[in-house]
Amino acid sequence: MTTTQEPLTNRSASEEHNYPTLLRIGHKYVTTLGQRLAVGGFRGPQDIAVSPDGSYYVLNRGSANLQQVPRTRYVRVNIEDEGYENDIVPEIDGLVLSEGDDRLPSPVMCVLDCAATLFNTDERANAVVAINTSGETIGVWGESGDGPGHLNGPSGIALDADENLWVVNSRDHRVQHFTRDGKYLGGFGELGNQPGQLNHPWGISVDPVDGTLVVADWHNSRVQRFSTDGTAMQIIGSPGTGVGELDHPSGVVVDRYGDIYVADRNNHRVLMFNWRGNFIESFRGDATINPRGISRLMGNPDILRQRDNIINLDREKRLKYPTSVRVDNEGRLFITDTGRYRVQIYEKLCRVLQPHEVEDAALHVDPGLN
Amino acid sequence: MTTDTSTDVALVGHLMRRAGFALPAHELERLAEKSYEGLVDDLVDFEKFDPVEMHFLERYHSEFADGEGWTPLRIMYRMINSKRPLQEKMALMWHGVFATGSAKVTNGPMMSQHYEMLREFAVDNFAEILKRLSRDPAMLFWLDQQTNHATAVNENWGRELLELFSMGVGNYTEEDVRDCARAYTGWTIDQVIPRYPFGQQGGSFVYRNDDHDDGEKSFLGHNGDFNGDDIVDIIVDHPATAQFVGREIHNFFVSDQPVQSEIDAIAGAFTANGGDIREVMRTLFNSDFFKEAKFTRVRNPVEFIVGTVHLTDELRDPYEYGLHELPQKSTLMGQQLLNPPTVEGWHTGKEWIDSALLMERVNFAVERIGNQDAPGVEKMVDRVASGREWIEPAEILDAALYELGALELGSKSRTALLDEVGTNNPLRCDGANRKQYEAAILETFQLITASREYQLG
Amino acid sequence: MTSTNSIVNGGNNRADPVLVVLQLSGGNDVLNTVVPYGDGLYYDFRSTTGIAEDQVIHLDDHFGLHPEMGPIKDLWDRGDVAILNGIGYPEPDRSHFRSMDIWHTAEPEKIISDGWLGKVIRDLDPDKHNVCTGVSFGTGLPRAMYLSGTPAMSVAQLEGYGLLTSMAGEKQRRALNAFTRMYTPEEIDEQSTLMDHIGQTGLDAMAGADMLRAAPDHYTSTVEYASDPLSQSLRGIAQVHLSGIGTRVFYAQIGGFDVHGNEVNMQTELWANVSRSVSDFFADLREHGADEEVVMLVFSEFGRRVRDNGNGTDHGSGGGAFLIGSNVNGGFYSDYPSLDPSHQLNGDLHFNNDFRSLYSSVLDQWLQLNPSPIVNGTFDQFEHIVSPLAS
Repeated sequence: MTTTQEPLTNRSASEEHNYPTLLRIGHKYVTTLGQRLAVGGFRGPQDIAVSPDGSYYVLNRGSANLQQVPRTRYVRVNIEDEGYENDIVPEIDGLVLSEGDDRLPSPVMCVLDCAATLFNTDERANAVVAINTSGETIGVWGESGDGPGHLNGPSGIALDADENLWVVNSRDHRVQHFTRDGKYLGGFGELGNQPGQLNHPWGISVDPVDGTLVVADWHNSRVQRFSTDGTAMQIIGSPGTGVGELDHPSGVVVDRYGDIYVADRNNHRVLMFNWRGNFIESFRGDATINPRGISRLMGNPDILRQRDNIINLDREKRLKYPTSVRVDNEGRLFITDTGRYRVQIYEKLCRVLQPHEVEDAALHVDPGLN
Repeated sequence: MTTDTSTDVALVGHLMRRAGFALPAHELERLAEKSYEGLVDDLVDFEKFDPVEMHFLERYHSEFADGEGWTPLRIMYRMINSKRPLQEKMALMWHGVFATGSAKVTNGPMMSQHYEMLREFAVDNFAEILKRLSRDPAMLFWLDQQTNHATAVNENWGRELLELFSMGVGNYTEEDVRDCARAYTGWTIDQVIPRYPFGQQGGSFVYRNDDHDDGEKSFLGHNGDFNGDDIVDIIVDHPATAQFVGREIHNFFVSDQPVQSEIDAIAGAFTANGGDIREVMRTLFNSDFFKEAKFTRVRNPVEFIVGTVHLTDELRDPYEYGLHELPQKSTLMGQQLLNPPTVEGWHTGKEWIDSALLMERVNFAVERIGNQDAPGVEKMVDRVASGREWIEPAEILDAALYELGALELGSKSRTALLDEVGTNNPLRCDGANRKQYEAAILETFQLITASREYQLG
Repeated sequence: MTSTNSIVNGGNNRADPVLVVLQLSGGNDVLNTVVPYGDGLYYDFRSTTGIAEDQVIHLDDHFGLHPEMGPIKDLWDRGDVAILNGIGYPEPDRSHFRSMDIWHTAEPEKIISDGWLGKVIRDLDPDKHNVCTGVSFGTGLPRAMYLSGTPAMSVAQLEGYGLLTSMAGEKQRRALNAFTRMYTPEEIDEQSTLMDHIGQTGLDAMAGADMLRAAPDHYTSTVEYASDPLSQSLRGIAQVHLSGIGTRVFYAQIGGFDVHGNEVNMQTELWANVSRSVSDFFADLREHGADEEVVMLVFSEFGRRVRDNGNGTDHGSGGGAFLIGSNVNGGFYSDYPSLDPSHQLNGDLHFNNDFRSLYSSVLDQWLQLNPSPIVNGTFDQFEHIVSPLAS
């Protein structure tokens, strides 16, 4: 069952804030990108970067050959026709990463800045890799260590309103602030399970409404909100498998209304909380086969027969180890469904209520009669 | 702990190499504070120790979330880190006995389910193990049970159950095979979701009553409308099954050479305990013939690799890079996890050794042990080097053998090794000579792992 | 087992026919390798991956080679390439692993572990005189060459190959001395059978490694191989063969043929690579007057679907194979399987030649071995597909 966490600081309705009141209509399933393929598909997709021009960059970690070391590989996807353009693979020291190249073996998460540069963390190389969307490497920065500005198993990465980067250090439980070319600006965090402490954090998102930071506190199975100076503000979710509970959350994203989507990775679902930290709804996956997948199946009579004999096809549409969640300006939600080689897309439906349209909360004492 | 209840380090080394994986002397010394019987109880009653935390492996190898290629890596990671080594070792043994291969099954999740089943029921009652096995989707597909119909019997599973998974040839007739197979008609799996486009999913056992032959069967002198579980109950009561389990356990845990009196002892424990494998193992490890059977087996590649990695104390943290190489190494040494060559499993003993495979083994061990940056190597070198002023070459060798788990070398290897590495003079251990001295220790470690004796365990 | 060096000691042992097996891993798309451009159905089924008629290298008025196979066409024009159409086995298996095992063990019905080339090595060298009778280039010994009790060598690359390679210089030399002494069998060992077995195997491995590592020492060639792994493997094979240590069976492999997606680009790269490597290899042998001594068998575990999947093709059956060499009698062998939907096998080309017929032909006509025990049965041969090595 859900356990509602007491906010650490007062984020109740009476607080002065800019979060709109919403009439929640729901989420509409839109489509599924990708299929199990090392070429023209995904293998080990970790995250997706959303571009304003309608292109999406899916960050892959798996190799074509399961026996080989993983490598960094983006796939550019066009949502309109589900077209796959060329792979984008970083080039380091004049050498494009090839199969078996272990220089950037462990990409974790990525973001796209306003200048169309992709930034991704690499948790073993202890690096942030910047490449442009044509695949040219702009820079690789990061120094291994536990000190200020050092990287230690970097995972989550997010841009703030000033186009600076927040980077999560999974291995020393810290969150650090950098310019896009790697200049250290500040940071906070320490190991523990008390409020404000972290245990192997993973994803991070900047709340677009108030600029606070929301961090997936992975091994504590919760999400925490911090001010940019590191003050703990809120704990969202608690460990478990029940309603509103989290089991090792990985990705997290806050949309323009302050709603928090969390990739509840080991529960194979995505949860949404409102800005107060209350659980609102969950997503378990609704995947459909896209035209490319259909074309693929049509070439394989035996698989068509096998599929015709399947008893429970429900399993196929469900999320499996969803790793990241992202949103775009159109109100779409992207779930990187790592264990199923795909990205599932939803569209948020809601209406922002004007103050005159909704009863004043201050007068309201939850009668629950209607 | 008093010295009365402590155990000889060499004996603990032997116990751990067999019931678990090789350990360095400093870990053996810690274990040796307990009585031998207490150690055996810790091994066989392993549920008192926590299972390995798998979250970090799943996170730092998140490319494997699809479950298709990563089960061997998962298995090896657990072997390296487990506080329940016997559970991992028994699973490996059953994997060789109930050899099911991914080459035919071609379903990663199903093969994973299969191995997890072997682990979960590793020391259960043998009847229970066989009943789980007969419901295991990978096994059912491996032996064509989906084509074993009431109207058209496929004997593959029925035959191998008797021949390779329990009694062995010579203990039943062709009619028994036939009726055994009939009893399993209708035991099948549902259609799995194919790999395209979103990846494979595991299968599940299905019993189809309408495809089951419910006529009278005659099996090993018993008559009745038998279903699969009735067959298992009859099999497990048969003395040939106790002998079979005795042979398999003897081969895996005691010696490459079968010794009938020892097999009889294991079979006796099987019968006396109603087929409870946990009690069989407890009896075995406490028996004198087990304790005396040091270095009488060629270590299989997985034991060889995990044991060596235990000595170097590497790859305990899944963030450490290189874990994915271990299953590949095992394959190169002739043991591809989840893909035994045939339903007979791997051929053991001297068949692990041929020119290409032996080169892989020697080069792997020498390279690993030669890495002084590995924490385990650093520690072992330091333990040999510390607290001395002078040392004789023979002392280095003895100390190194001890650090690697109280190993033994034959006289020829000793002489050869000392002649090549040793100067004839004692080495000064401190000050400026410390580097040279440490290099001599490291070289000694490497040559020991290059020896014939190191292939054994 | 006797010591390895005795019969080959630096001598030039090139009197016997040599077989090189080249494995194309992943399932080569035969339809886009030997292209039936004269068949309209081909373009119907290959709407996105089909190769236009004017790009195909025409062999006759119906079939042609992939555009990147020019160097193979040159060998074809010399009469050195036999193309075997519709090669496969009954009840095709579309698993890479199982199908590869079937080709490796020459046994499609039962799951067995003995490799067909392992048996070849056994029959060529029954007394185990030469641990290098079979040499594989690549990672690990392929199952085809594995036979319990029959030694074979596996080389990643000749340079730096050997035992105790993680040690260096003086230290390695000392270690190898110690290794030799530690492994030399001695009857007084307590467990002498087992210890002698390990000892002899270790000494064989060391002797074999020494022979292989020394193979390039006296090799010179004007042929400049490319730097890709297959070219380097074939160069290594040329070096080992020309060194005269008496290797009779070589194995090389190249992966990546599993073109579910991006087939057009991937096949272009792969066949450019294979064509150049193979052509360089035979040019090298010709330069050394050794081209008549070697026959190369090129195979893949299966073919691919007739209909493409949008930008690639999925696993199918009915593959194709090549036999290449001066002593090969070039040309097409057997009919190309029909693309007519009513003749297809569940969307695949229907195989019309058992791969064991090909094996049997090579074993009997080239290596002069009795094929039956090696291929687990008796199969019709392709008549006169290869001429025996002139003695």
